[in-house]
Amino acid sequence: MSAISPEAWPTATLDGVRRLQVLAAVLPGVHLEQREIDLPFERVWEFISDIERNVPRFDRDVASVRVTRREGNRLRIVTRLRRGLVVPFRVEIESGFMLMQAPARSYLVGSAASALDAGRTRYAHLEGVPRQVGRIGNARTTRHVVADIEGIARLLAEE
Amino acid sequence: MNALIRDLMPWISRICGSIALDRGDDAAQETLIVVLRNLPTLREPVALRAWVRQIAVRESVRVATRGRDVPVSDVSEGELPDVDLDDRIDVRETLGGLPPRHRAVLVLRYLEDLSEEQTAELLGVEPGTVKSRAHRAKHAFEERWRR
Repeated sequence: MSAISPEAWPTATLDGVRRLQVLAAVLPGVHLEQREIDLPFERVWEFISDIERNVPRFDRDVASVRVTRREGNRLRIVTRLRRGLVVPFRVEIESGFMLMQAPARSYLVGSAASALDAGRTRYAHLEGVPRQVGRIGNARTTRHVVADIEGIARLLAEE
Repeated sequence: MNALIRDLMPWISRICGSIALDRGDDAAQETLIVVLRNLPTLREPVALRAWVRQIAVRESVRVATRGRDVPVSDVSEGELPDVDLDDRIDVRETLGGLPPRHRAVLVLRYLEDLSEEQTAELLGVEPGTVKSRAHRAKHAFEERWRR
Protein backbone atom coordinates (compact mmCIF):
# COMPACT_ATOMS: atom_id res chain seq x y z
CA MET A 1 0.00 0.00 0.00
CA SER A 2 2.80 2.35 0.83
CA ALA A 3 3.82 2.17 -2.83
CA ILE A 4 0.93 4.45 -3.74
CA SER A 5 2.55 7.81 -4.34
CA PRO A 6 1.01 10.88 -2.67
CA GLU A 7 0.06 12.18 -6.12
CA ALA A 8 -2.17 9.15 -6.77
CA TRP A 9 -4.55 9.93 -3.91
CA PRO A 10 -7.70 11.87 -4.89
CA THR A 11 -7.59 15.57 -4.08
CA ALA A 12 -10.21 18.16 -3.28
CA THR A 13 -10.11 21.65 -4.71
CA LEU A 14 -11.15 25.01 -3.34
CA ASP A 15 -12.03 27.43 -6.10
CA GLY A 16 -12.12 31.17 -5.58
CA VAL A 17 -15.82 31.26 -4.75
CA ARG A 18 -15.42 28.62 -2.05
CA ARG A 19 -12.38 30.46 -0.68
CA LEU A 20 -14.47 33.62 -0.32
CA GLN A 21 -17.24 31.57 1.32
CA VAL A 22 -14.71 30.38 3.91
CA LEU A 23 -13.64 33.96 4.65
CA ALA A 24 -17.27 35.07 4.89
CA ALA A 25 -18.01 32.26 7.34
CA VAL A 26 -15.18 33.14 9.71
CA LEU A 27 -14.88 36.93 9.51
CA PRO A 28 -17.48 38.96 11.37
CA GLY A 29 -18.46 42.23 9.74
CA VAL A 30 -18.12 41.08 6.13
CA HIS A 31 -20.96 40.20 3.81
CA LEU A 32 -20.94 37.88 0.79
CA GLU A 33 -23.35 37.96 -2.13
CA GLN A 34 -23.42 35.56 -5.07
CA ARG A 35 -25.03 35.69 -8.50
CA GLU A 36 -25.17 33.48 -11.54
CA ILE A 37 -24.23 35.56 -14.56
CA ASP A 38 -25.12 34.45 -18.08
CA LEU A 39 -21.68 35.16 -19.49
CA PRO A 40 -18.52 33.04 -19.85
CA PHE A 41 -16.03 33.07 -16.98
CA GLU A 42 -13.37 34.77 -19.12
CA ARG A 43 -15.67 37.71 -19.85
CA VAL A 44 -16.67 38.15 -16.22
CA TRP A 45 -13.12 37.93 -14.96
CA GLU A 46 -11.81 40.33 -17.58
CA PHE A 47 -14.33 42.87 -16.27
CA ILE A 48 -13.55 42.26 -12.57
CA SER A 49 -9.77 42.32 -12.96
CA ASP A 50 -9.85 45.70 -14.72
CA ILE A 51 -10.17 47.42 -11.37
CA GLU A 52 -9.01 50.89 -12.47
CA ARG A 53 -11.76 51.12 -15.08
CA ASN A 54 -14.61 49.22 -13.52
CA VAL A 55 -14.59 49.60 -9.72
CA PRO A 56 -15.59 53.30 -9.92
CA ARG A 57 -18.39 52.31 -12.32
CA PHE A 58 -20.11 49.85 -9.98
CA ASP A 59 -19.07 51.04 -6.50
CA ARG A 60 -21.05 54.13 -5.59
CA ASP A 61 -18.49 55.18 -2.95
CA VAL A 62 -15.42 55.06 -5.19
CA ALA A 63 -14.42 57.98 -7.40
CA SER A 64 -11.20 56.49 -8.81
CA VAL A 65 -8.75 53.61 -8.50
CA ARG A 66 -5.10 53.84 -9.49
CA VAL A 67 -2.61 50.97 -9.61
CA THR A 68 0.64 52.25 -8.12
CA ARG A 69 2.71 49.05 -8.13
CA ARG A 70 2.53 45.67 -9.82
CA GLU A 71 4.63 42.66 -8.73
CA GLY A 72 3.39 39.41 -10.24
CA ASN A 73 -0.03 38.73 -8.78
CA ARG A 74 0.32 41.42 -6.12
CA LEU A 75 -0.72 45.01 -6.66
CA ARG A 76 -0.75 48.19 -4.65
CA ILE A 77 -3.64 50.48 -5.45
CA VAL A 78 -4.89 53.83 -4.22
CA THR A 79 -8.63 54.32 -4.01
CA ARG A 80 -10.14 57.79 -3.83
CA LEU A 81 -13.61 57.81 -2.30
CA ARG A 82 -16.32 60.23 -3.43
CA ARG A 83 -16.30 61.92 -0.03
CA GLY A 84 -12.59 62.69 -0.48
CA LEU A 85 -10.90 60.00 1.59
CA VAL A 86 -7.90 58.25 0.01
CA VAL A 87 -7.45 54.57 0.94
CA PRO A 88 -4.54 52.40 -0.19
CA PHE A 89 -5.11 48.66 -0.66
CA ARG A 90 -2.84 45.65 -1.05
CA VAL A 91 -4.30 43.40 -3.72
CA GLU A 92 -3.76 39.71 -4.44
CA ILE A 93 -5.13 38.69 -7.79
CA GLU A 94 -5.18 35.42 -9.69
CA SER A 95 -7.57 33.91 -12.19
CA GLY A 96 -10.94 33.67 -10.46
CA PHE A 97 -9.92 35.21 -7.14
CA MET A 98 -9.04 38.67 -5.89
CA LEU A 99 -8.61 40.02 -2.37
CA MET A 100 -8.07 43.69 -1.52
CA GLN A 101 -7.00 44.66 2.01
CA ALA A 102 -6.81 48.17 3.45
CA PRO A 103 -4.10 48.93 6.06
CA ALA A 104 -4.52 47.36 9.52
CA ARG A 105 -7.26 45.14 8.10
CA SER A 106 -9.59 48.12 8.27
CA TYR A 107 -11.53 47.01 5.17
CA LEU A 108 -11.63 43.92 2.99
CA VAL A 109 -12.94 43.45 -0.54
CA GLY A 110 -13.07 40.05 -2.23
CA SER A 111 -14.14 38.99 -5.72
CA ALA A 112 -14.31 35.47 -7.07
CA ALA A 113 -15.72 33.73 -10.10
CA SER A 114 -15.99 30.14 -11.26
CA ALA A 115 -17.39 28.74 -14.49
CA LEU A 116 -20.71 26.93 -14.16
CA ASP A 117 -20.56 25.90 -17.81
CA ALA A 118 -19.26 27.39 -21.05
CA GLY A 119 -21.68 30.32 -20.94
CA ARG A 120 -22.49 30.84 -17.26
CA THR A 121 -20.43 32.01 -14.31
CA ARG A 122 -20.95 32.05 -10.55
CA TYR A 123 -19.73 35.37 -9.21
CA ALA A 124 -19.19 36.11 -5.51
CA HIS A 125 -18.52 39.51 -3.95
CA LEU A 126 -17.42 40.12 -0.36
CA GLU A 127 -16.84 43.36 1.49
CA GLY A 128 -16.68 44.70 4.98
CA VAL A 129 -14.71 45.57 8.08
CA PRO A 130 -13.41 42.17 9.25
CA ARG A 131 -14.37 42.55 12.91
CA GLN A 132 -17.53 42.97 14.99
CA VAL A 133 -19.34 46.04 13.69
CA GLY A 134 -22.83 45.68 15.16
CA ARG A 135 -26.23 45.33 13.57
CA ILE A 136 -26.31 48.74 11.89
CA GLY A 137 -22.82 48.29 10.45
CA ASN A 138 -23.74 44.86 9.15
CA ALA A 139 -26.90 46.20 7.51
CA ARG A 140 -24.94 48.99 5.82
CA THR A 141 -22.34 46.52 4.53
CA THR A 142 -25.04 44.21 3.22
CA ARG A 143 -26.73 47.08 1.33
CA HIS A 144 -23.39 48.12 -0.14
CA VAL A 145 -22.45 44.62 -1.31
CA VAL A 146 -25.88 44.05 -2.84
CA ALA A 147 -25.59 47.36 -4.71
CA ASP A 148 -22.11 46.45 -5.95
CA ILE A 149 -23.05 43.03 -7.25
CA GLU A 150 -26.17 44.39 -8.93
CA GLY A 151 -24.03 47.09 -10.54
CA ILE A 152 -21.55 44.49 -11.78
CA ALA A 153 -24.32 42.33 -13.26
CA ARG A 154 -25.95 45.35 -14.91
CA LEU A 155 -22.72 46.67 -16.44
CA LEU A 156 -21.76 43.25 -17.71
CA ALA A 157 -25.19 42.85 -19.31
CA GLU A 158 -24.89 46.26 -20.97
CA GLU A 159 -21.42 45.74 -22.45
CA MET B 1 -5.95 34.28 6.75
CA ASN B 2 -5.92 33.86 2.98
CA ALA B 3 -2.23 32.93 3.19
CA LEU B 4 -3.02 30.27 5.80
CA ILE B 5 -5.74 28.83 3.54
CA ARG B 6 -3.22 28.68 0.71
CA ASP B 7 -0.63 26.97 2.91
CA LEU B 8 -3.02 24.38 4.37
CA MET B 9 -4.99 23.60 1.23
CA PRO B 10 -2.52 21.31 -0.63
CA TRP B 11 -2.32 19.05 2.40
CA ILE B 12 -5.98 19.21 3.40
CA SER B 13 -7.01 18.56 -0.18
CA ARG B 14 -5.52 15.03 -0.17
CA ILE B 15 -7.09 14.07 3.14
CA CYS B 16 -10.51 15.44 2.22
CA GLY B 17 -10.39 14.26 -1.39
CA SER B 18 -9.41 10.72 -0.42
CA ILE B 19 -12.00 10.31 2.32
CA ALA B 20 -14.95 12.34 1.02
CA LEU B 21 -14.23 11.69 -2.69
CA ASP B 22 -16.96 13.50 -4.71
CA ARG B 23 -17.76 15.63 -1.67
CA GLY B 24 -14.11 16.42 -1.07
CA ASP B 25 -14.53 20.09 -2.00
CA ASP B 26 -17.30 20.47 0.58
CA ALA B 27 -15.19 18.68 3.20
CA ALA B 28 -12.17 20.90 2.50
CA GLN B 29 -14.30 24.02 2.76
CA GLU B 30 -15.87 22.93 6.05
CA THR B 31 -12.48 21.88 7.42
CA LEU B 32 -11.06 25.33 6.75
CA ILE B 33 -14.04 27.03 8.37
CA VAL B 34 -13.64 24.94 11.55
CA VAL B 35 -9.85 25.45 11.59
CA LEU B 36 -10.00 29.21 11.10
CA ARG B 37 -12.84 29.70 13.59
CA ASN B 38 -11.04 27.74 16.29
CA LEU B 39 -7.44 28.76 15.59
CA PRO B 40 -7.32 31.16 18.59
CA THR B 41 -8.05 28.19 20.87
CA LEU B 42 -4.97 26.29 19.70
CA ARG B 43 -2.55 26.61 22.61
CA GLU B 44 0.46 24.92 21.06
CA PRO B 45 1.27 26.12 17.52
CA VAL B 46 3.56 23.11 17.03
CA ALA B 47 0.47 20.92 17.27
CA LEU B 48 -1.15 22.68 14.30
CA ARG B 49 -0.62 19.85 11.84
CA ALA B 50 -2.06 17.14 14.09
CA TRP B 51 -4.97 19.39 15.03
CA VAL B 52 -5.80 20.25 11.41
CA ARG B 53 -5.47 16.59 10.42
CA GLN B 54 -7.97 15.58 13.06
CA ILE B 55 -10.47 18.21 11.90
CA ALA B 56 -9.99 17.31 8.23
CA VAL B 57 -10.62 13.61 8.89
CA ARG B 58 -13.65 14.29 11.07
CA GLU B 59 -15.22 16.74 8.62
CA SER B 60 -14.51 14.44 5.66
CA VAL B 61 -16.19 11.46 7.30
CA ARG B 62 -19.10 13.66 8.38
CA VAL B 63 -19.58 15.17 4.91
CA ALA B 64 -19.16 11.80 3.17
CA THR B 65 -21.70 10.07 5.37
CA ARG B 66 -24.26 12.89 5.43
CA GLY B 67 -27.58 11.51 4.24
CA ARG B 68 -26.16 8.17 3.26
CA ASP B 69 -26.46 4.68 4.63
CA VAL B 70 -23.00 3.73 5.73
CA PRO B 71 -22.01 0.09 5.81
CA VAL B 72 -20.09 -0.46 9.00
CA SER B 73 -19.32 -4.17 8.95
CA ASP B 74 -15.70 -5.16 8.94
CA VAL B 75 -14.38 -8.24 7.24
CA SER B 76 -12.63 -10.74 9.44
CA GLU B 77 -8.99 -10.23 9.96
CA GLY B 78 -6.42 -12.49 8.36
CA GLU B 79 -2.87 -12.64 7.18
CA LEU B 80 -2.30 -11.27 3.70
CA PRO B 81 0.93 -11.07 1.75
CA ASP B 82 2.49 -7.62 1.88
CA VAL B 83 2.11 -6.55 -1.74
CA ASP B 84 3.28 -3.36 -3.31
CA LEU B 85 0.69 -1.57 -5.34
CA ASP B 86 1.48 1.13 -7.82
CA ASP B 87 -0.24 4.09 -9.34
CA ARG B 88 -1.72 2.03 -12.17
CA ILE B 89 -4.51 1.22 -9.82
CA ASP B 90 -7.38 3.61 -9.96
CA VAL B 91 -7.08 4.70 -6.36
CA ARG B 92 -10.20 6.83 -6.47
CA GLU B 93 -12.40 4.05 -7.79
CA THR B 94 -11.11 1.56 -5.25
CA LEU B 95 -11.59 3.99 -2.39
CA GLY B 96 -15.14 4.54 -3.65
CA GLY B 97 -15.92 0.90 -2.85
CA LEU B 98 -15.10 1.44 0.81
CA PRO B 99 -17.12 3.19 3.55
CA PRO B 100 -15.78 6.65 4.53
CA ARG B 101 -14.52 5.43 7.93
CA HIS B 102 -12.42 2.79 6.22
CA ARG B 103 -11.09 5.36 3.80
CA ALA B 104 -10.12 7.47 6.81
CA VAL B 105 -8.08 4.57 8.18
CA LEU B 106 -6.31 4.19 4.85
CA VAL B 107 -5.52 7.87 4.59
CA LEU B 108 -4.13 8.05 8.10
CA ARG B 109 -2.11 4.86 7.84
CA TYR B 110 -0.74 5.14 4.32
CA LEU B 111 -0.93 8.79 3.30
CA GLU B 112 -0.26 10.40 6.68
CA ASP B 113 1.93 7.50 7.81
CA LEU B 114 0.45 7.23 11.31
CA SER B 115 0.77 4.09 13.40
CA GLU B 116 -2.22 1.88 14.22
CA GLU B 117 -2.26 3.33 17.71
CA GLN B 118 -2.14 6.94 16.50
CA THR B 119 -4.85 6.23 13.94
CA ALA B 120 -7.05 4.58 16.55
CA GLU B 121 -6.62 7.49 18.93
CA LEU B 122 -7.45 10.07 16.27
CA LEU B 123 -10.56 8.18 15.16
CA GLY B 124 -11.63 7.29 18.68
CA VAL B 125 -11.71 3.54 18.01
CA GLU B 126 -9.80 0.50 19.24
CA PRO B 127 -6.50 -0.41 17.53
CA GLY B 128 -8.11 -3.71 16.55
CA THR B 129 -10.76 -1.84 14.59
CA VAL B 130 -8.07 0.09 12.74
CA LYS B 131 -6.34 -3.18 11.94
CA SER B 132 -9.48 -4.81 10.55
CA ARG B 133 -10.47 -1.75 8.53
CA ALA B 134 -6.98 -1.48 7.09
CA HIS B 135 -7.14 -5.16 6.26
CA ARG B 136 -10.40 -4.76 4.40
CA ALA B 137 -9.11 -1.74 2.50
CA LYS B 138 -5.94 -3.54 1.58
CA HIS B 139 -7.98 -6.49 0.39
CA ALA B 140 -10.04 -4.22 -1.86
CA PHE B 141 -6.89 -2.80 -3.42
CA GLU B 142 -5.44 -6.25 -3.94
CA GLU B 143 -8.60 -7.49 -5.62
CA ARG B 144 -8.39 -4.63 -8.03
CA TRP B 145 -4.69 -5.19 -8.57
CA ARG B 146 -5.27 -8.81 -9.56
CA ARG B 147 -7.76 -7.91 -12.34
